[in-house]
Amino acid sequence: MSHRPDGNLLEKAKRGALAAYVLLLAIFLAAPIVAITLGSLTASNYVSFPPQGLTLKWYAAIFSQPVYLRALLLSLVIACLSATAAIVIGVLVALALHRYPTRLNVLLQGFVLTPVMLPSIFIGLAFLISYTRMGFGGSAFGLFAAHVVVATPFAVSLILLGVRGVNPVLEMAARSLGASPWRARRLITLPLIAWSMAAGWSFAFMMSFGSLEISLFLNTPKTVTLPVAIYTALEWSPLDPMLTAISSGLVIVTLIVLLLLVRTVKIDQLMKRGGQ
Amino acid sequence: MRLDTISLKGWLALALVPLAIFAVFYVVPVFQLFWLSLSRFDPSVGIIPAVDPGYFIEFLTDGYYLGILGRTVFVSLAATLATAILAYPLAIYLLTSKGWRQTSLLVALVLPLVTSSIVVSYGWLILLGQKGLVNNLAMGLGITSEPLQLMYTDTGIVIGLTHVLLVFMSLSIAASMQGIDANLAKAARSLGATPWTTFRKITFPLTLPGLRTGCLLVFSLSMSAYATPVLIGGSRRKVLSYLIYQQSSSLLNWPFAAAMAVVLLVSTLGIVGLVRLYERVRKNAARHGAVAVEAGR
Amino acid sequence: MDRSLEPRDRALDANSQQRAAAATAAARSIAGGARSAEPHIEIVNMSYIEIQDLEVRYGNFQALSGVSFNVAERERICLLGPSGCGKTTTLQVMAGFVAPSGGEVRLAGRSLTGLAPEKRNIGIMFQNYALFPHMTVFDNVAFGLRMRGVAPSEIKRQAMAALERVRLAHAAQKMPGMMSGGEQQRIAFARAVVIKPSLLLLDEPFSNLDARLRQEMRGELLELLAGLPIATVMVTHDQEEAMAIADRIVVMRAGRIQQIGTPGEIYSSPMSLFAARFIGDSNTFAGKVTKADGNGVEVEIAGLGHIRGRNHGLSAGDKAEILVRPQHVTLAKPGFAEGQRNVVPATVERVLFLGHRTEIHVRLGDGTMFIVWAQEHGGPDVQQGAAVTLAWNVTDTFAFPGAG
Repeated sequence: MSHRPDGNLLEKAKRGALAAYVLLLAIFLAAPIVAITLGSLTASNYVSFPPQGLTLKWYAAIFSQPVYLRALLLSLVIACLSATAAIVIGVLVALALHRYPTRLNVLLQGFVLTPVMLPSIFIGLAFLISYTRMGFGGSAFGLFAAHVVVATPFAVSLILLGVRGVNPVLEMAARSLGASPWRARRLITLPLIAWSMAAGWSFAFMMSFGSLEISLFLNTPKTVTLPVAIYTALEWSPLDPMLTAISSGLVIVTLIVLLLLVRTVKIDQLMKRGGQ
Repeated sequence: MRLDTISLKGWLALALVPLAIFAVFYVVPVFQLFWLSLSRFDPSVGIIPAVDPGYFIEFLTDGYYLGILGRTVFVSLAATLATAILAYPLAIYLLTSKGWRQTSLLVALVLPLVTSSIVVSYGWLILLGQKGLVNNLAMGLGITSEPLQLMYTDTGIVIGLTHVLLVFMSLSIAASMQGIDANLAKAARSLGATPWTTFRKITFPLTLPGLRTGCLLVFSLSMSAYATPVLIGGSRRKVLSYLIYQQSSSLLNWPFAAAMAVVLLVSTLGIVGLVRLYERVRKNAARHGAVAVEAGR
Repeated sequence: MDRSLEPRDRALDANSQQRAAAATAAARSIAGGARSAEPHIEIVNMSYIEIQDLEVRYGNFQALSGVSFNVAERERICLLGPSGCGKTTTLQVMAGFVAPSGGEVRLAGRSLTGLAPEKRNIGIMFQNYALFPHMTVFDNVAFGLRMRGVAPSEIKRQAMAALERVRLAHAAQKMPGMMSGGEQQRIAFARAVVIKPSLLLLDEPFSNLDARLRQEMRGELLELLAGLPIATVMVTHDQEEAMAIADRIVVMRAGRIQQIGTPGEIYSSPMSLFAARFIGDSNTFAGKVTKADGNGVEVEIAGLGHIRGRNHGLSAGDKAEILVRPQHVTLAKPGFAEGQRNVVPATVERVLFLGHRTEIHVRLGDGTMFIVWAQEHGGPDVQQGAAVTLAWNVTDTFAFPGAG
């Protein structure tokens, strides 16, 4: 580190430039979402950003449209159920992958981690074809199954982070003190990975709640999720401000869960293991 | 001490249920898709089971379809390049900042990813339109005199893809940067290198693996993207995902859609595979070179 | 005395074993405060723990082969050896985490084969202590009692009593992460013994510590173990630790037992080159046996002449390794008389003053480096480059078969 006076200035200038750059990019990243949420407050009868006048009337209008409310409810229920199923599967898979160094794990990884690597169109079409043949193509169950498949890889990755941070010797200590394998896992390991399970749940929830392509393929008049409802409405009336209100409703739900994720995840652990 | 008294039983107790669930609800559908891509379709009859690569041939020999595939590849490459350039300073900031600043940047990066693509694309619709904010700003600042056409263009698609995929590139580069021994840069500086030279000759080369991973990730995700290119590009700028959806939902030609989906998968994985192969060849060559040097002593 | 080199030989016959253990047990009971003034007669179970012919195989890799030893009722045994020698595997078999491919473990006559770890009632102190980070100190110590379904009021009483014995009752509601290393060791100890285990296992308790801290912790552990009438088996690669803590040491290498004996026996009568080198410091050099019989050997070292020493299974014509400890060697003026000593000329390379001793590095005629320890006050009066004569007793010279 240099102690020359102009050296310090240069360091400060560089750091300032970096901060400014990051700020600009952050604005870029937030821009479309801000546009939607603020645009929903416009008093004008067509979508405009910056909003002309501020009013909450479009939010009130949502309540007179049962279609959207039903879609919101369906999305919330499916997301909650999928996220829960995803973390249950996630814990099983993460423990198997981390604690048992066997070549069979390649099979497990191939089955459970690859859905996220396939194009969503590819996998959505596959679900449509298969689930229809299996008899539940247009049902809420089909939607649920598809979302679980797609959300689980995220849950597994996050829970793996948690499992990696737990010393396996702790379970052995518990067993030496008289705990059965199941009790040892429940009393020792589960509390210690609880944070990663919460993070996994949040991520799985957001993936399911925001999922468009999969839900599009499995879409029927009875199983319309909120993103699909917005998508279809966009094709007919893209300038209706009420649509922005609904969209920002979606954003708000997402933000709430995102903040939950941020609270539970230990950021430094995430950064340390980010490369694995 | 390692905990593996009866390894197989323990592993099975954990893995059996997930494997069964995913076998039924994921693996079987994927195989059925591959199988279906070889079938035929007739609007009046429906799906005709066959082992016929006809749709593949049709796709790969028709200029229209190939053009769409080409555009898909083009915007994906452009998005990859854009994210690669933009992400480096972000990665540095991610690693050097702490506390709320670091968290805020992570939240900002993750937000486009977790917010439904439909909402994000809708937002771009509002911003990039003829009367949108971007154009108003550009004209207000005097950059252009006429409104730019950003919607329904390839440029718009690239902007949208870059927006949502920047997080992947940033995290990949950040992860590989973090693995670099902090003392390397200090060693270089102590030997007389300026900060810029240190970055150019020491830090940057060591982040290349992360850059490669990030590029492959962004490229694959761009190729597979649906909502962003469809909503921003519309029917005037079709990408492969759009075609697939069109074939399956409006034309109900599932076999053709399946064939195109397979083409999409293969072209994505193919390019990824080639790059990985290149990496491995280079690694082997380096190892042989090192061995030769040792042997030559 | 001749010692054969069969790996399975026990250093002591049953009689000596009994004497050693009885003496220890008696000493302990006296130290513990025997109530009556009469001589205290202990009937000690010599084979409280029997390890018989343990075999552990992982695919093609033989981790343990023919491992057999006994532990007396209040004895402290140390499994000593380099990493990979199988000592930890033996511990794992005893704890029930690894099932042996052959052989068995018996505790007080009962075979433990097939018994799950949680049913063995064995206390374990792990490397890094393995304290549950999300539970308070109290909950950690109480865990074993909870698993046994002890009534809550009784749990509280016993756990607090255990904590008081290790002087940590005041920390009962604290989290383990906030405690120092020494305190964590005491908590781990309390947790392991409050369940009144039949056996205590220690897995490399000090391997992650620096030298100074090791000594402190070792002292603390000895204090903790002093009041404990339980058979203890400890695993370590540190010979100093083994010698300080163990009543008997089991030297292991590559999955087999090399030698069993008290620290003194192994130090002064090692039965193999490996044991001799592993315990204590040594100088070694190679040569060829010219004469060998029951009384000793004579080995010819290239460039140095003949060295006489104790015979450990050598015959004339064999390759041999000679071993002598640095502290047994003295420096003398050239031309010193021989008698029952080996004498070798050398040149001083460097003299290192290490505080408690002086280390003198000398070079022999054939180029071998030799280390001599001198503990005279102020150190011997030698300069670098001086010609000296090394002398040491024939009885301090060990000769083992050399590497092929």
